[in-house]
Amino acid sequence: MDSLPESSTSIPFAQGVSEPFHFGEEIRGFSSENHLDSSSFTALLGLQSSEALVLLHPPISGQNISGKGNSGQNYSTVLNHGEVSTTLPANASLVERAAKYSVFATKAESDIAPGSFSIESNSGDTSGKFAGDSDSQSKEGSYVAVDDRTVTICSREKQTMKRKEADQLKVKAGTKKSKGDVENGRGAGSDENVTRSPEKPAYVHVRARRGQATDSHSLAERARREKINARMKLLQELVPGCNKISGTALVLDEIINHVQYLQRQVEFLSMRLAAVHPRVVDFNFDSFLSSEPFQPFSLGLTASNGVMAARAEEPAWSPVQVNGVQRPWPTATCANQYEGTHSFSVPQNPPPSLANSGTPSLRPNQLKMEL
Amino acid sequence: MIKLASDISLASAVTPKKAWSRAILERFQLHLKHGRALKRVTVLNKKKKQEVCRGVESISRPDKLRGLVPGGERMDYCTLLEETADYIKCLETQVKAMADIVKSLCP
Repeated sequence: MDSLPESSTSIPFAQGVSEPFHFGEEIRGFSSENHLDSSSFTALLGLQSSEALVLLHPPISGQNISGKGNSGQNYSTVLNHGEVSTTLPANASLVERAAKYSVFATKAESDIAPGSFSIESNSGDTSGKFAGDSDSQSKEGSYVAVDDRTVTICSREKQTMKRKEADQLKVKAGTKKSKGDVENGRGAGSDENVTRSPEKPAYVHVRARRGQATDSHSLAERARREKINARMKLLQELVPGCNKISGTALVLDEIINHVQYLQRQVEFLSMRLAAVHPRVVDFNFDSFLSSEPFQPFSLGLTASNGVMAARAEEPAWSPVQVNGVQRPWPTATCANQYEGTHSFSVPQNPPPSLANSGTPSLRPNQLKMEL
Repeated sequence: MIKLASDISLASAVTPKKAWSRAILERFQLHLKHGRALKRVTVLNKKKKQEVCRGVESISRPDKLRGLVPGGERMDYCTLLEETADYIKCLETQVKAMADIVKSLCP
């Protein structure tokens, strides 16, 4: 809509997109829907911003959000206007968020700012900076349920999705970890957040903590560093005995040792299996190299061995909930079934096509191997 | 050796979404075309050369990790850490599965 004077640097979109797991964590925190990953979240944001644009033009009745009841009207208007995603009505928190955004959009120029601040001030962490009256109004929010840390968005939220995401991201990141160094100070920085008069053009304020630079480079670096730290934490949890070690270097060493150890184990076990089990194996690699959707029963397995391997693996998968990173772990169970049975399929079901080691008829797709 | 090959290919089939599994697959396909199965040897040789030339201590830790995780040489540090976590998890399952197989085969 109007041109927001962006006095500060704009956060690159890539940053917002590159932190999907932050989004994932937050979203999971307040919404129970599993399919809300980062992509749908941004889609929602996009929708809401578009709705906001739509809403700005037609005057909407009942724009007061001072009461809960009126906010309900806003919900309905949001929902009625255009293609709200089906997840929105289903999730109260999302509806609230949509309403929030729409409200902000409609109230872009009006003096709704105190009301909007009331919504925003529900965030406990930055609440201290907000005006005092907002706290009193904060109770009337059914917005409490929503992750209000994300909302430091001022009334002129129509600003691009990118910035919303990025700033929400920054705020979330900042609030999640008490270090919270990834924050952006728009305009004059911290002072503006406190005053935030409605006459001023609204910024997407993210507070800059003390003693931390606010230019884009350091922000990007900080985001990257946080990413790295998060993943290091993951690795620490994964590798046994790494929790006690402090310091990135030693942890890395430990991780390297662990990987080497595992690889050695695999080698050792494979040698053992090879010694035990000399056979002629006919691998049809083309089938499972080309087809990524994995078909565990393509080799004519023996059911018992497959079941055994599968059972061994299933308990391993249940505790696997890697925080913040979505991984398709269930596919591994199929693979391990396959793995368990693969070695048995050959002595029991010699493939009809290439029978013996004597015939060196190598098709380009098939490797004939002798053990 | 062939067992190794089978295990590697199976491990790659587990999560093709991850970069390291793709790297393994690529390696394998390359060798299929050439009709040989070398795989790890070449990578190991490279690393040993590096070690010999520079001295073992001078290889930084992320480089070591890159050498360990398949396909890790082209990744930035962030991705490397993520892939490492994934790789460790898959290695663990692989070890478990193979141990079970061995247990069943030779009591």
